[in-house]
Amino acid sequence: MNRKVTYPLVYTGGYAFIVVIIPLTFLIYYAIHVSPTQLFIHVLAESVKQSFLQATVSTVISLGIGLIFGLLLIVYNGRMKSVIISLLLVTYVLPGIIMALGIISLFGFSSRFWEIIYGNVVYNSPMIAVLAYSTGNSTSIREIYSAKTLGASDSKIITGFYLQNSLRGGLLGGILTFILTFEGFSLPLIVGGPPYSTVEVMIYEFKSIFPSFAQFPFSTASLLGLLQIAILVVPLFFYLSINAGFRRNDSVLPLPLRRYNKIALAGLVIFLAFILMPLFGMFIKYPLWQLSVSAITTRLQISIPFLLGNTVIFSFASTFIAFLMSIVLIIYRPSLRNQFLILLPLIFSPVTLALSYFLVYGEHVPTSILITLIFTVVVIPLNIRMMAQAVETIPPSETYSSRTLGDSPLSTFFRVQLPRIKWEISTVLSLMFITVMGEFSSIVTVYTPSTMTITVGIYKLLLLKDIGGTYYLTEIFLIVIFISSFIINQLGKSGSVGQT
Amino acid sequence: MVQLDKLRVEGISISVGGEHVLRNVSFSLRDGEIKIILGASGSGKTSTLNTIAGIIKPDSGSIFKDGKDITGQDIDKRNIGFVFQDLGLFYSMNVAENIAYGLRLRTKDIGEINRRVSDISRELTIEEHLHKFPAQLSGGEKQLVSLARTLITDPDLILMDEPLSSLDSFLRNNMRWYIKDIRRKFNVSIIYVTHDLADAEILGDSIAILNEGTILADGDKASILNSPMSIEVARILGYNLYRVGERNYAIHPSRVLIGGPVKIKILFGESGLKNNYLVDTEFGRINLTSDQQLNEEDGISLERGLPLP
Repeated sequence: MNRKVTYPLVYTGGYAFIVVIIPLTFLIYYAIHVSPTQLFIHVLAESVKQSFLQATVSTVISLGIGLIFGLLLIVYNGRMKSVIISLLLVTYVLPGIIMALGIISLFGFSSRFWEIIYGNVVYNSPMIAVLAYSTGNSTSIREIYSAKTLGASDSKIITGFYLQNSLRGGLLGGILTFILTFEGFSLPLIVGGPPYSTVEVMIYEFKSIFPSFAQFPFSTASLLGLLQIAILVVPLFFYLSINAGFRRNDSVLPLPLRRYNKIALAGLVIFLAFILMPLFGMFIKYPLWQLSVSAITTRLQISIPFLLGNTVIFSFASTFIAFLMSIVLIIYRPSLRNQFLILLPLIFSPVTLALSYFLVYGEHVPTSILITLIFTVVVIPLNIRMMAQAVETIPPSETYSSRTLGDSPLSTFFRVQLPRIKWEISTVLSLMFITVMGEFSSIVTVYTPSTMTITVGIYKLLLLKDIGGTYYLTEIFLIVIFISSFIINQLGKSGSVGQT
Repeated sequence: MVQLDKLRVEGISISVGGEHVLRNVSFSLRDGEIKIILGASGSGKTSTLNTIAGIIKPDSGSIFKDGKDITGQDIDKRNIGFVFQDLGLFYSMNVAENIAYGLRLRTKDIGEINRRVSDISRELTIEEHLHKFPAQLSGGEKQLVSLARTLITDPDLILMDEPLSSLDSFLRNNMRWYIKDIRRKFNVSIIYVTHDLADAEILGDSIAILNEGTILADGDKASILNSPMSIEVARILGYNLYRVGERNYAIHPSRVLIGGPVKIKILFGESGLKNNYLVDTEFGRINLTSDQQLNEEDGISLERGLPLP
């Protein structure tokens, strides 16, 4: 039989080699040159302990809260639903540094463990709620009505059907929360301070503040980066192997629990207040009309338009590149092995990623290119995963119809698949764009004055103890984020196809 | 001159996770023929079609089209039409765009595309729906759009994966004759998989019986339907199985004669266009269909039973 070369492996293998294998090799090379001192071992043990503690406590609380509100989202079926989901998603994609500043605006610079946890919960529980809602909402309404005709009570319907299906998404969100909190950077760095430094914070400290801690530069940071990869590889494996099974629920039957609509809405409004409080607190305490642009410019010695320009250019370039790469990798990614290779960059936390890319490419490419590359790799696994899930909701027969009619895989993607998921694509693009705009932990590790973005500007103002300036710049940034995401969403929704 | 088969499948096997989906499946399709692949759910019918279309690659075996090995050929290069079970219409395109899709890949001549879309939609009586989207069509109209979209590209053969399964019985019957008519008008070869015996009886020129990934029987319609070659085939074709002495026999429900030496007890009897009965005999339970009314004292005759090997 005539066997063909598996081209997908060539694409994905090459991608994995350049994006992951080479940087990882450099990280290992630097790490083996570490000369551990007593102080280093103490710092290492403390940071690992903090990472575990913060990740575990935050995950448990976030999961509990997220699941409850995910169920409320399933039960609620009013006009406000899409607004609530959008607000929850916006909270999730907000940069960590903004959340940290929101927490400080509420509690002041008090450096308490529970404030970090509160920040983590506010940050992650909306994501768990939305994921739990997505899988829970795919429950077949016909199944529910079958159960009801057989005598199942409403509580039985919730626990036996909706909760069970919500758990799949919730679990996925829980693992993701653990990973993201373990890699926590902004909250422990800004809210917690030195006693609550996580591994991620210490990698940054060893790279940027004490690079000569050991004889070999960056070896301590590299060792911590490798240690973090080794710890997180297990939860990452679970995260990647869970198939949450998002489906479209196209049933036209009325929702079975609609009588609880008002109760569910009230619960969701309380939840929104809980998670948006840090943001509101900031705007109330530091109203935007008191902003002094010149004071900020003087402090940073860089103009706000320049900061914004850098942020938008890096974000646009990396989103665009990541989107193009995602298309190629999605089209040629049929096997499980290839999917694993594509998602491999997830093993790097943002700071470790920045450090390893700095070690590999730092001397050879301008910092602006390095930052674009890092940002691209930060978002590409998320982007591919979300786009692949969207593509999987299209019946395979549509794709194969196009192929049997003689179309190529690339053309089939653009002509058949893309028009069907353009709403999802616009959401993915805006999520990616916002994520990259708010990226702080990676860029703070590698930036130079000419490549400073707005998040770094905010952090610098905070270090300079210009609290007012910090908040004003944060508020400007928030407004830019909302406008950008609105524009991208509108661009994605435009076009003439997909009316049905 | 030796007439080549339109399609020849030689010994294809597929395993998924250690499970045999297809085992050494072989059959052929003549030019202009409608071949029915008949089997129960999970027998491997769809996998067979997916393999022929190039959607999945077989672990072993070969597929020849017009004498040429196409086993390793890409889907889009095979020129094999496929009407999927859920039809696979493009929901982001209107009917005209759906039909023109494959043709646009083959010609840039807009006039030619418009003319042929218009011709085929008139031929299949869907010209008034050209500007509608698939979601606005009825089940039967969607079937016709799917057929038009496939036929317009002049495929070398068409694969049909239970395309009528979602239709009501009236529409299904109409569509069967439509498909038969299409074969006549377009002189196209068709492989049609189904679990419905009526599809096989009305549409097929030849029938292959597929069971648990294996072809149990393959031949012309009359011989397969009238002379089942094994117990499994007889069971799939809806025959009554009974045993006399050391020998197994099969008899079709419509061939059991009322009045005969076999004593019966009527378990169920329903009158309708035909009279349907389930009776208990010394040879086992037998269902039968007859124009006549059945009384227990009449008995039945199994003399038209076929001995099985």
